[in-house]
Amino acid sequence: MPSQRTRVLVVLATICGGLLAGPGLDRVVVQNPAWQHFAPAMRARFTQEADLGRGIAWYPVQGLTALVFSCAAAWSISREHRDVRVDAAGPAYTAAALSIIALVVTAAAIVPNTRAVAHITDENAATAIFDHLTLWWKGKAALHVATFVANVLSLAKLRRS
Amino acid sequence: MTLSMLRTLLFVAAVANGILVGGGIDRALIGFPAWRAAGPQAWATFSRRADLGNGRVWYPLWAFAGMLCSVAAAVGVTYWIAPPSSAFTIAIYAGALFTIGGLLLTLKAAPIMLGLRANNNDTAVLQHAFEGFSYWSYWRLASQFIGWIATLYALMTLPAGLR
Repeated sequence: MPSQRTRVLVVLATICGGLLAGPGLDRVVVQNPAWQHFAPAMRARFTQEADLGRGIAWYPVQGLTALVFSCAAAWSISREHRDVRVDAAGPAYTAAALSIIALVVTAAAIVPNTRAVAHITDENAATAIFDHLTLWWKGKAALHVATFVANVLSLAKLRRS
Repeated sequence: MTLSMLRTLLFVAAVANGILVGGGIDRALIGFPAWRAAGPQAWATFSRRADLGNGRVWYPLWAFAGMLCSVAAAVGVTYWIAPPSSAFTIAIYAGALFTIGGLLLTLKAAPIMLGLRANNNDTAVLQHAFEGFSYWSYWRLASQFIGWIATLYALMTLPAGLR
């Protein structure tokens, strides 16, 4: 039976996973297609109020917290895995690996493009930036959703271990 | 209902409700304050393309998927499986109850959003719509969040020997 520490970490990783997967899908399926109907200037103004406003503090905290809990849950399970069989190990390791890849995608593609919105000078540059963001958000959202599903799976398998 | 079916229902409910709650929290913490700063005209113009665009299918899809699975799991526990007298039973009922509550609160928020279709661009009317929609969205989110946590708890504590 997994320890209380492992249970708490898996629950926290799952909650954080949902808080990342939901907004990611919302952007890809609802928001980004809607923005295609507006001038880049309007999207840039909103991005400065949202992602570069409150989001500049919230998103890094949210992302790093999810990463830390996913990795900590995987670490905790791996320690117990030495002594007893833990069914949740596979999904927990998968979630940790995917959350690390998501962080790399965010740091390499999402953050620089989002920050560049603050310095947009012409419409062509804005269009190029938003095209990049729209594309990379698809990958980021897919990673967050896969991480979240792995989180929930590891939670579901804790009891059976 | 078999244990495997119950586990599947709770799993789908946990994923669907999590997607819904995650999007709702982002909207509450980041989206609404940003639209408040951008103004009601900008919010209404965007919402007509977003919430009333793909969102018209997307949001109900997750809300109904989560609610139906939560309710089916609760019904399954009540009628087909001898319910264990534990926190598990309370959690599974709370999950169903609060996801239904989320949908009932949508009955207050959705008409405000649907009212934007009328293309009334009066600032005072749109400001009132924004305040009403965000107010009911916060309450809806609270209900969905409690329902989601309850579902996660039920999934984690699902007894191994139900019949």
